[in-house]
Amino acid sequence: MFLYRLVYVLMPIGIFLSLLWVPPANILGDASRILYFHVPVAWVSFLAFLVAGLHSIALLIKKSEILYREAMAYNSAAIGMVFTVLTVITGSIWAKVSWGHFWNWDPRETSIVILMLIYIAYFSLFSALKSNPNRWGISSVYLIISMIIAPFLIFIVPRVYPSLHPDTIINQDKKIHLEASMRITLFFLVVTFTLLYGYIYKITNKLSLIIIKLRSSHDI
Amino acid sequence: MISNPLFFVFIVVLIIWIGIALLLFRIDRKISLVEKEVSEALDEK
Repeated sequence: MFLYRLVYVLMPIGIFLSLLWVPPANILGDASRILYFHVPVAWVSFLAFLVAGLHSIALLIKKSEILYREAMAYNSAAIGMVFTVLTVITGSIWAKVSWGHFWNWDPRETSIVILMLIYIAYFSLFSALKSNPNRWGISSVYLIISMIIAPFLIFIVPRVYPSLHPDTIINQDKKIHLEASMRITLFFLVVTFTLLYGYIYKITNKLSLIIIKLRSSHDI
Repeated sequence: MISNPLFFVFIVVLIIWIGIALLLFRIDRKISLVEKEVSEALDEK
């Protein structure tokens, strides 16, 4: 837990680096600074969905601690959903500044909307199956399928179709087209946002465990 | 530095972060307390 609490110190440093330390990008100017929040937030949204899928696999294999594992997968998907919304908001602001419109139906924008709809459907499914004893199995299978689809939507679709987005870090040239200070700041904030996700995830899991314990003690 | 508009943005973002951090810290502390109380109560049972 101590590692995750480092986020209290690292986030202000990250904010300082991204807004005051790093030089503005050549063409985009100061508006490009939103990159240092947009990319880490997008990364965390993918990571959270990956963790939710992995917990679902563990749940289906082990079939033990069902309530807790199910809650862990749900919590990760819920945090992922919040970060996906943040990705869309930061992306839309950046799109307005760079391309003139908040929404342009760019392949990346379209794929993030599809991903968001997939997870909205998961939450609907989860709450609709509230009284179903097989909810854990059905929702786990859904999350695993979503986890398999997510990389296609995030990494493959935007590379197949022409996109307004700038060249990605993992590109055909196999070179990172970012100045050293920009690279440092971006990776610093990716780590910081990952820690923030881990911290929120730990807290929500703790809360779920308390609820499960209390419910089971009432049943006894 | 104060005349730089980015400095103003930095202060605003920092204030937002302080608010989020305080909220997180309070929730973390409260949940840790509840966790302790629940496990003690369950042990007594």
